[in-house]
Amino acid sequence: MLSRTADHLFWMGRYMERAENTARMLDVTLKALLLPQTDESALRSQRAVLSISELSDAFAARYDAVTAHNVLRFMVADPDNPSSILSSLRAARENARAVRGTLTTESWETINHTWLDFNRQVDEGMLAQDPDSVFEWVKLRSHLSRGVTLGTALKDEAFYFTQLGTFLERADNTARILDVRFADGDGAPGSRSAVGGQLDDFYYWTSILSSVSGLEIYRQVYRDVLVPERVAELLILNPSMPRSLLASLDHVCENLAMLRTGNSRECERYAGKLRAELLYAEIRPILARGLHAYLTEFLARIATLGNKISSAFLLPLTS
Amino acid sequence: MLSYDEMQFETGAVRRHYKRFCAWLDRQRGETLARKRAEADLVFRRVGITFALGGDAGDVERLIPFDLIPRIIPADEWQLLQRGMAQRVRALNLFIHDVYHERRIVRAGVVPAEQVYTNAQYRPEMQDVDVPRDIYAHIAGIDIVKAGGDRDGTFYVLEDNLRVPSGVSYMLENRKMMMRLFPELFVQNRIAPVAHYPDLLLDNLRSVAPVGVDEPTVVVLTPGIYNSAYFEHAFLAQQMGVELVQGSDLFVSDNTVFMLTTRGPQRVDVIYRRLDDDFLDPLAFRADSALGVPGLLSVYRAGRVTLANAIGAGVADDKSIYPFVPDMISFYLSEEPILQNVPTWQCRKPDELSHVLAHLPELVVKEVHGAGGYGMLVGPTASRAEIEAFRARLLARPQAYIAQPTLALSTCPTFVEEGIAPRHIDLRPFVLSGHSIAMVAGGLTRVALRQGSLVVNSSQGGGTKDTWVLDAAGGAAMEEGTC
Amino acid sequence: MRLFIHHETTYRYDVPVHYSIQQLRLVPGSGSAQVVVHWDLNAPGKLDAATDAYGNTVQTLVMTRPLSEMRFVVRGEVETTLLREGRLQEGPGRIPLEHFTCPTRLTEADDAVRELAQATGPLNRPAALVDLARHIQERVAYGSGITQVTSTAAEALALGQGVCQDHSHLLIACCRALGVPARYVSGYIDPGDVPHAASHAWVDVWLDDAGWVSVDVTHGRYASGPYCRVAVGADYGSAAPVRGMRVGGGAEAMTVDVKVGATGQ
Repeated sequence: MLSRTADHLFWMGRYMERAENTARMLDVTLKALLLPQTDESALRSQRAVLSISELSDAFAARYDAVTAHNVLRFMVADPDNPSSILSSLRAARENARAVRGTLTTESWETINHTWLDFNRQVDEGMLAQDPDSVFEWVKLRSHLSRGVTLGTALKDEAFYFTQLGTFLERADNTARILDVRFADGDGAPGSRSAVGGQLDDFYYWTSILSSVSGLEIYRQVYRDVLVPERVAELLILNPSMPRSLLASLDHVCENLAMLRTGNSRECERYAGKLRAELLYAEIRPILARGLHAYLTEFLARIATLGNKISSAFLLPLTS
Repeated sequence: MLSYDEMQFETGAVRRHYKRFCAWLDRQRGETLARKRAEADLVFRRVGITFALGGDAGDVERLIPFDLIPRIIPADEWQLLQRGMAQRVRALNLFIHDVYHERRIVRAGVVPAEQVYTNAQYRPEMQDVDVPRDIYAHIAGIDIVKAGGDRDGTFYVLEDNLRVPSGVSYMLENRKMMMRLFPELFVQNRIAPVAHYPDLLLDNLRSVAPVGVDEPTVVVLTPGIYNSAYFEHAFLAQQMGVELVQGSDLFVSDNTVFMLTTRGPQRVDVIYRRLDDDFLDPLAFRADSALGVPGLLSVYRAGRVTLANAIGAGVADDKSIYPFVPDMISFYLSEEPILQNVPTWQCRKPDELSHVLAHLPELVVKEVHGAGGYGMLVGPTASRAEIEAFRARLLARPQAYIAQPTLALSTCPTFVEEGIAPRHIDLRPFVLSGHSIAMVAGGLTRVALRQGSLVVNSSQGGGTKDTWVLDAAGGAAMEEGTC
Repeated sequence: MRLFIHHETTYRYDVPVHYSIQQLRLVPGSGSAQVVVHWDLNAPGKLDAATDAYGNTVQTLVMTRPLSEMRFVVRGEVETTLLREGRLQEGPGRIPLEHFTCPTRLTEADDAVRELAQATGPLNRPAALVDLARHIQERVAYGSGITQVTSTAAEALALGQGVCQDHSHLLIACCRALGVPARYVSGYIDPGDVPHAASHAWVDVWLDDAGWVSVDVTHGRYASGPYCRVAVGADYGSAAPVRGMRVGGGAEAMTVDVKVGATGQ
């Protein structure tokens, strides 16, 4: 297929997933703010949300104070924030529109209606009244899109590129969700950055797990109390947990294999290596090294993988 | 001035080829038809058949109104049209070839040199260049009208469109819609199919691939989603099973045109381009065009890629060349034209200009280089002030205008506010040239929705109808209808 | 006389260019005005040669590997013949003469240009062309930096200043306004003592009795002797020495160095 078409499909997948995960991450933040805490600690959480997506400067340029209301507005409905849910849904829809001929009618209409309805909800003030329901709705629409794609699309190059974008983005976003907790602190003992310890950690880890729909899964896998070490293990290394980093890389590699060409050896090798490391890793050494350091490096490698995919398939003349 | 009505005589009696349809129409309930019309609207909107007005599409997506009542043509009339159009397109292609090679028709004094070689559509880049099968207008949209009195209308060719003729997607989608809404009509009437047009088109495009290419790769080149005819570009590409590309998907290397695909560069052999000449190659034509492919012209001149329609084909579809088409038929084919031109006065000729100035209120005066019904004077419906203003423009630049008598275009019953009423129509069949000349029976019928209006362009409020060419056998009526 | 030409053009990019296509009109042909003794064009890759619409030799260079610099070097020797009254003694060429009476965007006449065209009388003999050329010289002083490569003849006349490209466009615009065929010529000149750029432009005008007559507007004389003709076209656009496009590259810096020397009369 045309590189440009593949590029649109890839990014359509990425932006749809990004919208969903932004909703999930904001969910975590919102729930964390419900915990008893100092104002300072609440502020740190909100700052964490911004710094995770590398948006602190952009936010500061447009808003005076870091408040829950402002952060929510910025991350959900601000059209000038390229990573807001609104911007992600718009980008998903624009990419879909550019390749409308390649999509099934149902796929296009689902994305189009998601965009139109989301705007309506924002205009009707749903964000201020009931942000929770907005996040739930975004997740639901994302499930629907995925279901429609899996259910109706021909399993061809178009499908694989969309999936490739989806799972690459998922790996990236899940790492960021995991890292939210750590971006605000400095790992000093007694602070919330240190692994293990305090009661609020328990509620915090619970909210992380439920944001990736992992609460029940945790209980099924571990049949034990919530232990941060195991949460990290589940979300990074468990191949059966659908949103884990390993599961996401598994899908990335599968789709790359289906798309294999003479030009794609390098990106398959790179992805395969990343996946293999996850497959054979153990959680203790990761935590000993520091989860934040680990996740930061992971994100850099995902970004590199994205560039290699671009060179191999999507933008051959500019690489 | 009374027009020929396609469906009925002045007396109200229904013409033979409409009888069966009329009988059916009589039996339909008003609300059923209203419901069907709404359904058609909905489906067209969903599928995305829209026509963005003006240049910048923005969010203005407007449907071209589709009218349920078909324009029906009996088999023998279509035969005449078909033979006439094939003859005309054959002559036009010979003319274009001649313009860019021996110039015989100019040397013989039949067509003045300056009409051709100072024409903005003449491309020196095509001088002495050979194209596959000597075909320049692979796809020709011939605008046909019927005029005359009640008894017998006569077909006239209004205009030839040889550059980037559009509208065939509406012809195809209208037929699909009618079959979906009223399948019973297609059982009762034997209507010639049109759905195979994309197959004919692809076949002809493949047949003009560069020499030595066995399995040609054909693509449709579009300016992109903001172009008003984008739907048609995407539709035809999809129906033919070929890639829809933009300029940025193609590049030139090694004197070859390549397409950027996920599996690496793929050679392109035939480009069905829906871009004007000026935008095709920023290194050869308009340097500010981001829509074309730099270096395309060189590959084309070297015969290593085929463009349909050819660069420079527009030299033959200009209104200043139109009056010479019957001469072309005679000069190249030694035949009498089967289809007539509309009588045309060329205002660049002083005696013809005098006639035009003396009869402005009765004439239609058009700019030689205009398109889409703009810049036109329709004498009978213009105010005195408009006529005087136009007179001044004419006197300032007479060579830029031609004039024709106001033809009473035929009418066809159409759904309007008050019910069903006659509205003026024209017809645009599409003639394909490649290893042979081919066409599907029918074309795009355009209808002027305003009462009395003769302007059928969709950009100025026109609509479309399905066009039925009845199979020769499907003649005798079973019932009389009154309609 | 014998002309020696050395022409070097270098493009530098601050970010690598990934794809570039250049069409070069840098190779002259032999004809009644000159014989090419020796000509060498050096480019960073393979050149596909062809003849363009106006009969010029055009070389296409495509680069698909990243590069930060592109250099073209031309070295050549041409033996020129003096043209009596600027006459080329050649036929009209393959393109119908009518085409050369059509104004292009760069050679469109406005009222001022039309007035200028009539200023020195009918263009019926070669000397009349030189008269008009000198008149244009007076109205448009030679000076660079005022007009751009995209400036039209009318704009140059209004500004009262321009370079050889503008002078040539203006003579062409005047001719076409009077229905006289004229074409743009791009090439080299031995500037002698006068510090004009050695890359130069002049005009061929078709007169029924004389055929193509070559006129150098900037110097107010026939283009005969120290002139090496490289390409002709309807205007600068179709005769430009280098016309190209690229993907990537960031900012482009171009340096040009042209040296033309002469021996003989």
